[in-house]
Amino acid sequence: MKGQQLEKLYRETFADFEAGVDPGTWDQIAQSLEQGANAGAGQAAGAAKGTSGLWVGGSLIVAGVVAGLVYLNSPEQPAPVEPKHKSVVTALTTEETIAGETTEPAGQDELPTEQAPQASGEPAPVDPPAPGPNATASQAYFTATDDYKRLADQTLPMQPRSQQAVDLSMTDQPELKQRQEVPAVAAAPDQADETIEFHTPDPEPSAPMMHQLAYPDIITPNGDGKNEIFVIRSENISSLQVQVRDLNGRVVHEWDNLHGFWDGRLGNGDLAPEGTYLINIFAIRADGEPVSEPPLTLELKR
Amino acid sequence: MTDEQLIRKCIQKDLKAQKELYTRFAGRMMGICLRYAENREEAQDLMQEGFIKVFDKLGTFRGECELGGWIKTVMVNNALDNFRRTRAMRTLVEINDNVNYHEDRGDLPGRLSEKELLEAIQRLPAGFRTVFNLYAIEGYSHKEIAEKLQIQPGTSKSQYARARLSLQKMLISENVQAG
Repeated sequence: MKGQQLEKLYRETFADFEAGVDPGTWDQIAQSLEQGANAGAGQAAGAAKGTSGLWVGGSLIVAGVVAGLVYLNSPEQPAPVEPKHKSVVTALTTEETIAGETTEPAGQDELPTEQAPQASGEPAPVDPPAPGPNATASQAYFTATDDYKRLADQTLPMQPRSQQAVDLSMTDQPELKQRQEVPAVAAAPDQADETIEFHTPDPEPSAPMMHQLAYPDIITPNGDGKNEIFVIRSENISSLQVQVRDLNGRVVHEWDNLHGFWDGRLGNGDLAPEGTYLINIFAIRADGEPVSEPPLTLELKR
Repeated sequence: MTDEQLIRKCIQKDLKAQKELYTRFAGRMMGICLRYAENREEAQDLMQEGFIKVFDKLGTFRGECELGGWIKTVMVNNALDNFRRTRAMRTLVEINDNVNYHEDRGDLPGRLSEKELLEAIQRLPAGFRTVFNLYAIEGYSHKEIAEKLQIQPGTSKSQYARARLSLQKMLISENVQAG
């Protein structure tokens, strides 16, 4: 494919692209405009947005109620649900040498140690990062850090893994003591950007590139400290973008780094209803090859 | 009715004129909203919000460009506002990897419908989709995109490169499945 083929295709297709509009759209706008004549356009815009927001909210409630009924109708209260863990190991022979491949083969990411101080129950003070070109990334880090503080009572194990990383079970909950032994390198400001450090040496040039993604298929964010969040553990993955969608296809949460997670809340902070969610994963392997990962389903119970 | 007359009546909040202006541009603007949204429902929201802003700001239109172009700008900016509001900018972080994303992965299938292209772009994560729209279709530079989204130009570049890669992958693999 020539360099600009994709761009050209999209530009030509959508330059004069027209699409059918639902007949009710104008009525909604007209309604807002009439209200706006008195109330101001800002509120009118809010009202227009609210109309469909209400609908979505309603359907979420219905989904929640259905999930609740199913839950109540079960013969007995289920024991805390232990998630099965799916892990995917893919081996592909490296067919070509891609520029950049040799620079940063991914090993274990820094996730475990970064979370350790927050999860210990006594959040370590975090120095603000030096302002610099990565300010956006730093902000992102601290937003995530605040979330971790909120989740400080969770005991999801996040220790650095040994080479037996194939065992990715989250069910062996570690003691807090163990966690505190983890070197607290995370609070260092230079960890606060998206630079990823790798511990493992370069793989053998002829070895097939392996990557691994592991994730729970159920989360129970009810504050009992078990399975509170959905998080993806990865090996040999250089970038990871994840979307959590409800069954209406709406994105309820998404992230774009190796350390993201979902705590079972909607964008406005409300608890997401119990039920099934869809997870889309866009991952790129350490050698630059995109990883094709089918959509997953995630059960949310409280 | 000329554009000028129509605009004047719209500013006077003549609902009939407003409907006429809406009708003239609705199809084209829906085409834009659809590719900034992840589904039809969100596009519908963008349409409503966008047109309300169009009527609100019409008094500032000075005829420096074609009316349709001006409306389009308002709609795109509204889509960006929506992106900023609903999806925290933390989804747009620069990834410091040195992968050559511009390497092409094979030929695109010969026949790709508008629907297929649209569905592919809607399946992209919001950050990818927004940057791809702005760069590849709207034709903004990475510097301009960085200013619009208040991010680093390098972030725009890396988001774009990864969007491109994901799109290629989707379009090629879908065609294989279909064939």
